[in-house]
Amino acid sequence: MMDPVTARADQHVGADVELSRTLVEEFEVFYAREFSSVVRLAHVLTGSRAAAEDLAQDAFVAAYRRWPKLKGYDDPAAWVRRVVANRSVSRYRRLLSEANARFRLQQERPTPDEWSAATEEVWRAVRRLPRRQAQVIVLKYVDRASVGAIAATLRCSENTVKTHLARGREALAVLLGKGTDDDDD
Amino acid sequence: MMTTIDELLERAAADTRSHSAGTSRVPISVVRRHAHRRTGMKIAASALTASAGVISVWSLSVRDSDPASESTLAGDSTTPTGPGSRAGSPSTGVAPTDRNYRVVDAHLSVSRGEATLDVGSEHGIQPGLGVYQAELIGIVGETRAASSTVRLLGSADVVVRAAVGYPDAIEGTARTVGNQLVFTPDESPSGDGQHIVGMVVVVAGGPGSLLHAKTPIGTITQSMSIDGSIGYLIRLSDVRSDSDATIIVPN
Repeated sequence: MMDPVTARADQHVGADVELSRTLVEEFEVFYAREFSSVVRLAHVLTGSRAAAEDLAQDAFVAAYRRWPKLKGYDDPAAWVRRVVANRSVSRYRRLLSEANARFRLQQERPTPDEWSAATEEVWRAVRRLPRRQAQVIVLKYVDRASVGAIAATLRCSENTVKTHLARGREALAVLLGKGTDDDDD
Repeated sequence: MMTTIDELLERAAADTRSHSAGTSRVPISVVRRHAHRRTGMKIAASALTASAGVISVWSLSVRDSDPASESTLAGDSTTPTGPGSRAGSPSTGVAPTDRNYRVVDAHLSVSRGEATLDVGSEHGIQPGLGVYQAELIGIVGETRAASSTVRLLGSADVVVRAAVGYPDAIEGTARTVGNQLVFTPDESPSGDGQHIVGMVVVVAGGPGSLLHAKTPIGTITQSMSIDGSIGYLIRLSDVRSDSDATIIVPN
């Protein structure tokens, strides 16, 4: 079945090319504004820049194909973030089994600019958390999203977000041997 | 004073934000299309050039909306006969599908992040005639050889279109021989690091299948020996099940 964007473009090609151009231009603005932060979100959750770019790319392609509908949402970026957050966890697990092959490919490539070892240690611990806890932690700290925005992105209540945040921090304190701070949110 | 988890996370997040500002890939939306009077159509698609040296590019599939053109396509729709075989003419790579999509021969060149596909008028594609859609394709394998042979096992709806050079395009000829595709550069890659980084794989069958073809980074499942040399076994695992393919790329 043809997706809505393609179908719409089909109907207008030749007759109203400006419409599809407008859609594309709107999407490109959206993409340019959001892509970096979505990649960052996926990068932390997967631990792989390449996988993060793939995931973000997939999510934006999916968004592009739904753009006529999606652009009417209050926050289309939340839809993209939700897709990426949900797919990142399963992708991370798959990446573990592919690590050897990727290492072999990457041996001949320049090392991309990466964050520090201390930072990676923190994110590695985050990736060991249950899925929802990891997602809310990354959305809050990396994306600097409010509790309300996280709830909207993950389609859950603010209380649920707060619970996951608290439990996530507690679990991280154990994993990283640090104290917790209960006075926020 | 003990560092709290909140402080640790804030520091890590700040470090992360400072190191991941740049991005290297672009989505399908940036594909630009315009008619080209002399060649039928020319499509300039932004290539995806990753900082780590991975290149992904876009290829082209065409869905003609013109009724006369569709009937022509239907007439070409023969059933693939086996692994790697091509419906239509193997030499032209025309691959009719049940959706009237077909992958057409296109001259592809990639240079520093910009991919250009030139489609010849011999395919009957004319400006304004139909709907042209550029599709995501994957780069599979990596080789420094001067020429490459790609063996296709599995779906007949997968064809390797061309080799892609890095950092600059490598011009050459890709031709299908049975279930193999042989790419021969016009000139040997230069000695300043230029090399073939992959083969462009086009999965016919419509946007649903193409859009989920991946670069090899996430899809290589193992390396293996092929005819005495080491190659990569790559499974496009996310391709629609009826378009699934296993592709072996010898070094």
